Formats: sequence, structure tokens, C-alpha cells
Amino acid sequence: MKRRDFITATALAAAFGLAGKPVYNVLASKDALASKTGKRLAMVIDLKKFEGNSEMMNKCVDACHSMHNVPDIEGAKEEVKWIWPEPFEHAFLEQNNQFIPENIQNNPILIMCNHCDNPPCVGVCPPKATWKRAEDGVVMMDWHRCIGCRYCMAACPYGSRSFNWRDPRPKIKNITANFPTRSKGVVEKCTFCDERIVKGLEPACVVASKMYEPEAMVFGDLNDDKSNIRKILSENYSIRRKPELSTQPEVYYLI
Amino acid sequence: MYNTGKVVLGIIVFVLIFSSPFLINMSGDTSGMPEMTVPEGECLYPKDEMRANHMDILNTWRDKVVREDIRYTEINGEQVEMSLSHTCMKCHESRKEFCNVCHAYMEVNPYCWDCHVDPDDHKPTMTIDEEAAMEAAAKECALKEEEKAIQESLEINAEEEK
Repeated sequence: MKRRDFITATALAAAFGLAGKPVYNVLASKDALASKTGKRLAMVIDLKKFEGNSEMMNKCVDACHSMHNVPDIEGAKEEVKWIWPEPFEHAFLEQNNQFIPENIQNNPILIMCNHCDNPPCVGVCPPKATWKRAEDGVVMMDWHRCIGCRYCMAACPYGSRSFNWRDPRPKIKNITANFPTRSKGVVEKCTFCDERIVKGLEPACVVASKMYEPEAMVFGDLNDDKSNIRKILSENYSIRRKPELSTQPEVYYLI
Repeated sequence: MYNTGKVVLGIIVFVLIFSSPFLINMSGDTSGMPEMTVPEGECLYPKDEMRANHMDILNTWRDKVVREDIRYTEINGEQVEMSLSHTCMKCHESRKEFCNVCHAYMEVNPYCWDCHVDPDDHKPTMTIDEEAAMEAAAKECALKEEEKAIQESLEINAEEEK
């Protein structure tokens, strides 16, 4: 072997050793496959049905927050929220074109954790306190295991996660006894009501919205092609928050 | 060896002081043991096993429920919900009179109740039945909407016929 060939071969082997695994990971992305097996739970929110119905919106938020012992803390820095209304230009920054219809511009949008197919929060969590459930796609949290590093909050492009800067107990108006509270130093967010879906019930916000409108919020399995949610998505044009980040959010909005 | 007597005496004194807690315990005086109020009936596991392993059982339950989404387990042929608040505290009603008594004696401070709601402070506000009732109300509302839609379409049809 010539000296030149030896050096070339060594360099190629080194390059493959360094870059081979990451490149393989990108090409054979497991996350993209995960969503095709089992259930793929998602939600559709019909913004038209929320127009001028702030009462329904508040009921959805209240139902969730009271059921899950979410503290009521004022101030943007310390507040804790699982589901909340946000102005259009915050929720859909990149869609906020000039001269869009006033009803869309002025109508607050109900936002929550998107339970992404490719969740950036999951990869950064050191103790694996948050993960994507293979069987139904819920981005779950294990509050026992959370160490409060807040990497997930930095990773989430939707601001769906809140941190407990102090003991939340004194700030909870009525404690619901059959659901735990959180403790100081723990991150929390919407879990698609995992404690309810295991019993075959729909998420609390969906149930609350049904008291006003039958299909303002629809919850279902995207992998089931006969589900109502698939029917609605195939009949209406939907938008999602920041789809350009390829997180594949699973909360769809009808405008 | 120089000063044999002093050295041996020193060793004996050291061993006595070092083993004093064990020697005192060997006397069999357990008057400091806490007395707990234990509810009547059978526990899920025998008393000795529960005493020794309840923390491991609870940890296993926690991991099964939170991480694997398995909520029930079979113990003695019965389906049991793996839940501290819903299963254990159904019989052992009070944290103060049960958990705390022994934990204080053993000087351990588990942080279960930092998050899980202490049944001494709060009784469950919404039972499963109430949740089901809420669900039924929502369904009824949806049905009414459907009826309304059907009625409206009938009215439109009637008008067209006119």
C-alpha cells in the first residue's frame, strides 16, 4: 500500500467513525416510525366555534386547572398553566399576515401542549422524566422523577411547560383530592388527561367544551381512519403551530 | 508489650461503648415502640411483608402506573388499583394516625405527601360516579344539539314543501 492510500483510508475510516452513527440516526429516524404503530391521539380545535364565546373558553381552562390542581399564580414569570387563551399573533406568529379577517385576528386561541410526534422536550430530559408514550403518543411526565433542570422548557418551542418556583399548594383554590399537586422545583404541563383516557373518558377541556358546542374540540386517534377526528381533518383545512420546526404537533386548528 | 493492662482495659472500654446500643436493645425493652391504630380486616399482603416492603411495593406501583400506564394488579385473585390514595388510604384512613406514627419513630421523611393529597386535609371532591355524571351531561348536550339540527333540517324541508 502506498503511503498516500494509507492516509486516505485512515481519514475515511475516522470520518465514518465520527459521523456514521449520527447520519444513520437521522436517516433511520425512530420517531417517525413511532407514530405509525398503536394509537396517535390528537385534538382538533375549531376556532370559529370559540368566536365570541369566551365563556366556553374559560370553562375549558377552569375544568382542566381545577381537576389537575394547577395553582393560580399571577405574573408571567411564576405562573403555571396547562391550557390557556393566547392572542392570534402570539399563537400563530408566522401566520399573522397583514389584513387578515378581524374575527381571526381578534379571537384568542386556546393553546396547550401539542403532544408532538417528534417532541424536542423529550430528548433533552436528563432523568427521562418526560417521554413519548409508544402506545398512544401522549407526551407524558413523571413528576416523581423531574429534577427541575428546565431543559424541557427551553426546548419546547410552544411554551407549553411551567415551572413551580415555589410550593404551589397555598395557591390552589380548591384541592382536588384524587389528583396529586406538584411540589417546588418541578415542571408541569398538559398530559392529555392520561388519568381520564385510561378510563375511556375524554380530556376535561373537551368535555367542558361539549357543554356548549358539540364539536368545538374533538379528541381522537389519527391512526384510526374511521375516527371522527380523521373525518373532520379530511373535510376541513387545518393549521398547526410552528409546523416548520418539524416537531409534528398533534393539536390542529380549524380557522 | 508495654502497659498490657492499660491497653487491654482500653480495648474492653472501647468495645463496650461501641456496642452499647446493641446491648441495650438486647435487654428486650421495646417500650418506645409506637402504637398504631390498625384497621380491621385483611391487608393486601401479610403484616410482616407490608412492614418490611411497603416502600418497595409503592415504588413498583408508581413505576407501573406512571411509566407503563398499568393501573391494576392482581393480588390474591382480586383486581387492585395500584394507588396510594385510592387503595391504601381507603382502609388506613389517616396519615397522622398511621404513616406518621412509625415514620416519626424511625426518623424517615418520605415525600409522598408533598404532592399526593393528605386524606386528613382533603376528602375527594369528585368521585368516579360524579365524573361519569358529568360525562353523561355532556353527551346529553351533544344529543340535544343533534336533535336540534335534525329539527331544523325538518323545518327547512317543510318550508320547501310549502
